[in-house]
Amino acid sequence: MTEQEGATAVAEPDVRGVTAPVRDVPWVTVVLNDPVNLMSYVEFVFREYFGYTREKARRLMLEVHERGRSRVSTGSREQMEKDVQAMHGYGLWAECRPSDDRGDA
Amino acid sequence: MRIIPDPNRGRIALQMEDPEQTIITTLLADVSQLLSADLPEPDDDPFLRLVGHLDPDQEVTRPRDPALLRLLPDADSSDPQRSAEYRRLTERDLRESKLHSIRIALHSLGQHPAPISLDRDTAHAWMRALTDVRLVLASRVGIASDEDAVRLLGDDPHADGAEVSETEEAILSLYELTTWLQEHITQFMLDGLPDDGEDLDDGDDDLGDLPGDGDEDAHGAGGDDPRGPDGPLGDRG
Repeated sequence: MTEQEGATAVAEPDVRGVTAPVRDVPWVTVVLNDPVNLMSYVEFVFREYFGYTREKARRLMLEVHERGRSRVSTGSREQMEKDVQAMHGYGLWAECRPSDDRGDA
Repeated sequence: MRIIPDPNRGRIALQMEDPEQTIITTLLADVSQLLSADLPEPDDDPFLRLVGHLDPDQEVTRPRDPALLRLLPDADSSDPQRSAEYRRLTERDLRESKLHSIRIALHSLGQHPAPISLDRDTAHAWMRALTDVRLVLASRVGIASDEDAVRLLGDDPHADGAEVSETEEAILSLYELTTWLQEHITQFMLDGLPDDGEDLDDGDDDLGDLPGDGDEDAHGAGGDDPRGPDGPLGDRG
C-alpha cells in the first residue's frame, strides 16, 4: 500500500493508509545450512513451495550449502513468518527478521 | 529393501523385508511420540480450540531436548522474545502438520507385506516424515555440522581416535538407511515436478558457472532481490 496521489485534496482521507509505513518494512526469510537435509530435498522444497525454477532453486540450495545461509524470500513480516513456518514444516532450518537487521541476511 | 519408481503411473513402490518394515515403523512412531509429548488434548469444540490457541496466557515452552528443538526451531535465534511469541502462535500447528505426515507414512506401511505403493501425495508425506526422523537421529548421535557428518558417516568413524559406542553405531546405520530411502523418494518427487518454462531456464543444467554468473542473487550484496521473474513472490510485497 502506498499513499494515494492527490490525497491532500481529499476532504475525508482514507485512514487505512496510516498503516502503510509499517507494512512497507521488508522482512527476509533465511534458510540455514544443516548437515542432515539432502541437497536434492532442499532443491525440491524451493521449487515446490516458492515455485522457483530448477536453476534458481539449485543456486539458492548451493548458497545454503556452501555459504551456510541464503536469503530465500522477502516480503511482509506476515508472509515471512508464513514462509518460515512452511520451511520448518519441511524440516529445513529457517529464520526470518527485518531485512535491515543484519547485513548478512 | 528395494525401491521401484513408476513415473508413468506417478507412483513409487517400496519393497521391504519384515525387519526393515519394523525398523521404519518404530522410527516413525518414536518421532511421533516425541512430537506428541506435552501437546495438550485438542478441545472438541472448534471455537474453544481456536480461542485456546490464541490465549496469550497459554504458555508454550521452548523445547529443552535438542532433537525436538531442531524439529520446532526458533523463528529468530537472535530475538528470544519474538521467537517465543512466534512459537506460541505456530508451534501447535507445526507439530500437528508433522504428526500428520507421520500418520500418512505409518498408514501406508499397513500395506505390508505387498510392496508399499505410494502415490505422489503419500510419497510427499514420507519425504517430510523421513526428514524429521533423520533430524532426530542426527541430533541423538551428534551430527551437528557437515564435518561431523563426514567423520561419523565416513568409512571409518573411529578415525582420529573418536569413540563411537555400539549404540551410536546402531543409530548411524539407521540414519544411513533412512537417508538412502529419502534420497530415492526425493529423486522420484523431483523428477515429477513440472518442467520450468524454457524461456526462463533455457534447459541449462550446467552448474559449473554458478558462482561467477554475476546475477541478482549475489550473496550479501544488499540489493539482491529474490523476487526474480520466475518466482511467485512478485505479488507478495
